[in-house]
Amino acid sequence: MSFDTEISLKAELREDSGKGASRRMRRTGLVPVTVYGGDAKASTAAVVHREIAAVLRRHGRNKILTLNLDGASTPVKIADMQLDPVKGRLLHMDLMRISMTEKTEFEVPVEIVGEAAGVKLGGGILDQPQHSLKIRCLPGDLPAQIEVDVTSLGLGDPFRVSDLKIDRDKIEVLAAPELVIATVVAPQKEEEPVVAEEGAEPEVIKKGKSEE
Amino acid sequence: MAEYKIPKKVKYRKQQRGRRAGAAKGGTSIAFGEYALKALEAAWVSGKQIEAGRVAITRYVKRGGKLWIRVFPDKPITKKPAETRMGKGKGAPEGWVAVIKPGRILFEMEGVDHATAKEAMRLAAAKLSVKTKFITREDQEGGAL
Repeated sequence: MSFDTEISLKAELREDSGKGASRRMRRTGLVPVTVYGGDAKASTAAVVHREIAAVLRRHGRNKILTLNLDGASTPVKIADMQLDPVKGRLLHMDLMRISMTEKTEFEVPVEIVGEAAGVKLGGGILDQPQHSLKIRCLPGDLPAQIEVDVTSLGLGDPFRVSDLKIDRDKIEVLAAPELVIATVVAPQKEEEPVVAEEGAEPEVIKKGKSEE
Repeated sequence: MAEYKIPKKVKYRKQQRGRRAGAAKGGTSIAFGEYALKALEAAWVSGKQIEAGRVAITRYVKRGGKLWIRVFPDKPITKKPAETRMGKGKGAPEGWVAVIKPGRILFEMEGVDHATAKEAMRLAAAKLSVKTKFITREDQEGGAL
């Protein structure tokens, strides 16, 4: 098998599983990973936290890595990542084996290019409901990001999936063509909270418990 | 006075206090905006504090930006009147709080630059009873590892 991916990552098979073993592993600077997909069986492994953190900082999640595991090199994509909710430290990763000759699904970040006319002249705010898009393509055609040129967007104009300037023979966007990626909205007015005056209480649904 | 959002309907008027062990299970990642304020400790954040934070952010960014409030004060808090002897039942409902655990996203913003968002979130954080940190979508994608 020959493939050309720039980033390689070394992993070692692990025997232990479970939270105790995973915590011990994390204390020694390793991150437990699960490798699955392709024809081979799923396996559990560990990568060095410093190495994978450097890859993520430099390239982000949307990149094909060459995984060196058990003497074999396989192209993989990052299928899932678990981060510590407070510290943000990487806890676990799912790596999915992919074929360089088969179309695969990827999630690619959306990059906004230019300043919208509605923002520059109309005083609007650029709203971006979609920060990433799912696509299907050959790993060799995987774009680092999908560029959305918003320069011509006026106030209230949407930029939809159908407006994307991409090579549709190579890249299939797995979203409805009418899905709005970015739009220019009018600035928010100072919203008064709907409420409740002193002593106001919500309605109690259940009967019989309303009196004190 | 209670000028903040409260639930429209509740099943019971009063609740037990409960415990706040562990980290947040959901609402821990940026879902809508580009910048966010994340709680680093557990606390009850009152509806008043959330509203004060919202006002601080909207005043600072003036008419720009879009704001999401990711927490809602849905827990009723009761209080006994002053100089009351113990017993005689639970006190009267006095306000509403959101139960916040470490890792929870409180506010999200979009449509402003990094420096403005950071300062707006700092002003909002000063109104809250939890330690917080400012995070961006890029941090969450692995940029902060």
